[in-house]
Amino acid sequence: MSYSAQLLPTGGLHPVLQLTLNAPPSACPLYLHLDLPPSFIPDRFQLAQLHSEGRLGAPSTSAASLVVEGSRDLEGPSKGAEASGVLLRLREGGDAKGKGKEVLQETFELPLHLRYQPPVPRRWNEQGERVDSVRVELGWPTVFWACEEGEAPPAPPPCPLSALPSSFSLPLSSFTSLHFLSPSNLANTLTSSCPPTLPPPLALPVPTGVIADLPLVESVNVLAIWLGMMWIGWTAFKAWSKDCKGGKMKRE
Amino acid sequence: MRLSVALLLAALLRFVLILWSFHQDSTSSIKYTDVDYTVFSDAARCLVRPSSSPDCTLATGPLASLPFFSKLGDPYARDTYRYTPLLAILTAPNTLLHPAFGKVLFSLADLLVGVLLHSLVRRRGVSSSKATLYVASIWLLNPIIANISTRGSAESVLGVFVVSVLALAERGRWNAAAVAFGLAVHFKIFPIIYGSSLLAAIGARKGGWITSAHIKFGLISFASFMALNGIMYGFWGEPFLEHTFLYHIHRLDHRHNFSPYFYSFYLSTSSNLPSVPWSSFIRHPLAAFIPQLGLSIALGFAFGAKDLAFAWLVQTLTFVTFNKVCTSQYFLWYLWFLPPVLPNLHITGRRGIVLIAAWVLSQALWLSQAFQLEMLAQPVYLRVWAAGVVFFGVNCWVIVEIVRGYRSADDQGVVEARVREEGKASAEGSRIGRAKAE
Repeated sequence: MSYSAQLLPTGGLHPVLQLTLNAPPSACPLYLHLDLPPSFIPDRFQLAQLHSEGRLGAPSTSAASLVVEGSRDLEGPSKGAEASGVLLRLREGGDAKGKGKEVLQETFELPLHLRYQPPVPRRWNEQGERVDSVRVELGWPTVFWACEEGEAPPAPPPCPLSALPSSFSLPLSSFTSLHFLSPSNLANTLTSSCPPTLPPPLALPVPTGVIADLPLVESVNVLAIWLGMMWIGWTAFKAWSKDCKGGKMKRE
Repeated sequence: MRLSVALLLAALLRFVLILWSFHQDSTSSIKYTDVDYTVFSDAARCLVRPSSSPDCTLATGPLASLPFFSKLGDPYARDTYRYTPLLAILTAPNTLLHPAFGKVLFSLADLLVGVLLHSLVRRRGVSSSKATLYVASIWLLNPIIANISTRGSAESVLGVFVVSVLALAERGRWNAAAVAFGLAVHFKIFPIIYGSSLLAAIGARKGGWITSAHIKFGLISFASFMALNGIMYGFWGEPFLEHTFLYHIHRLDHRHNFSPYFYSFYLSTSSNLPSVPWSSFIRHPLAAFIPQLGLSIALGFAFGAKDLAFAWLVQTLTFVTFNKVCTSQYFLWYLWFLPPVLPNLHITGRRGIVLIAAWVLSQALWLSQAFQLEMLAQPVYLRVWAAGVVFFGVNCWVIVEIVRGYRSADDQGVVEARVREEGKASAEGSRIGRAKAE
């Protein structure tokens, strides 16, 4: 019983968090919780659409089926942005036996988006290495069963609701205990810590702008805009003048 | 080809694309439908069924507190909805009837624009079949146009309003044109630039610059614009003003787009910026407006009296080219003026091909760099910006060539008269020369 997570390398500024789950069915629903630093944007509308279509987790009418908390800014740069969090129901509960022996492997892909990162001062450092790409980290998601009173609990030991490491208040009050899965590097270990120790954060390189480019960019922009304006303006003026002369000739 | 046939084929094309959109959206991770359509639909849902989602809220305008409107929702509860509530109202049937209603509406708007353009081209003395050829090739059967509408972009609705103003103005129906003009500017702000050319056109027909006709047109269009604003503000209050108008005036799009401004906006989000001369002026949000608006409006005064369609073509091309943000959707804003202007554009085939090739290739250059940035996360911001500067330069060249290549019907008459005069003078000179020789 474990799970693994990785950021797929193919997304560019739109990374995908891939979660691979190895866990048996249970009477309790299975959840994913993810805290996102300000560098990331969870598009709540995109996630809601995927979730409602059954392409991301197990939709239900419950308020705790998909929750996206935190920043509502879908466009702004990383500077000044707020953190956010995602709570996603991966599986419905309902296995009456509770401790099914069959381990199900499933894969989930959670689309994310990156904000533009704060620009760096220079493109090259003193050693001649490029530094216009920064490393952005994303903490591992937490995966857990959330059980109500009387439901047959899964194998991992119970933890209180307060054990969930979240910066936001989540609608889990109807549950009485959380049973955390272990990340794959702690596989086959029914950890007693609440929550279990997570691996080092996931990371990916993200390109940034270079502040040293600004004088060139602004100067060229001003030159291009004003030269373009004069070129078009002069051509239009000549055409207009010719039209005025043509009108005069026509009258003559 | 007859117009009815072109319309039928255009309708069929859009019908097939809408059906395809159902398939692609449900089976592929890459959606056919544009994100903006989802925004309209969500906003419309919040408008008509505010209780359907915890993210939706009720309208907050002064009129919304009246008992009859107590359940009216707020489309601005939807993040990134930055349009008039009119658009949410038009797409309300997405929630009440079927999610594809908006796409059907936008496709019908495409067809209506085609009909209006055909009548505009015919008024220029072009035969019906040739007019159909122009309109069909540039608009009705253009796969890019059909793709944009069936993906759920609402630009063709704006096209109906704008081309209607043009059609009414060319028929001399100035009151109706003024009402439609107010509606167009309410729907999207930029058609305000056509005000200068409309004033010039009125002046050419009525004589003078500040006549009762000018004042009447200004008052009616202003009243139309403010009536709509008043109604919308009455129901939706401050969010309406903020998202429909103020946001677009102050926006600084820092994410990459065709405009070369994006990179300076992005870098300006840092503190401790290096300064260049006149930094505070260059970096002011309004600095981009001066060349853009100044030139667009001046072009309207220069050419509006002669040919409104041509004036609006070059005004819009200029506006889009010099805009702080530029995306592919904006190209539609001038494309619908091409059919009525084509009969008067005298650009050689070779030069036309070179211009089109340059325009397409400069876009391809930008797209190649933007792909590396967005999809491969390569640090190529400077190259994307440079490609944007190249695209800007090519667009300026296209505008210059269109202005140079334009010949109004009057111009063509003058040129012919000059040729005849020169021919007569030459014949007279030859006759005198022969007489002397004899």
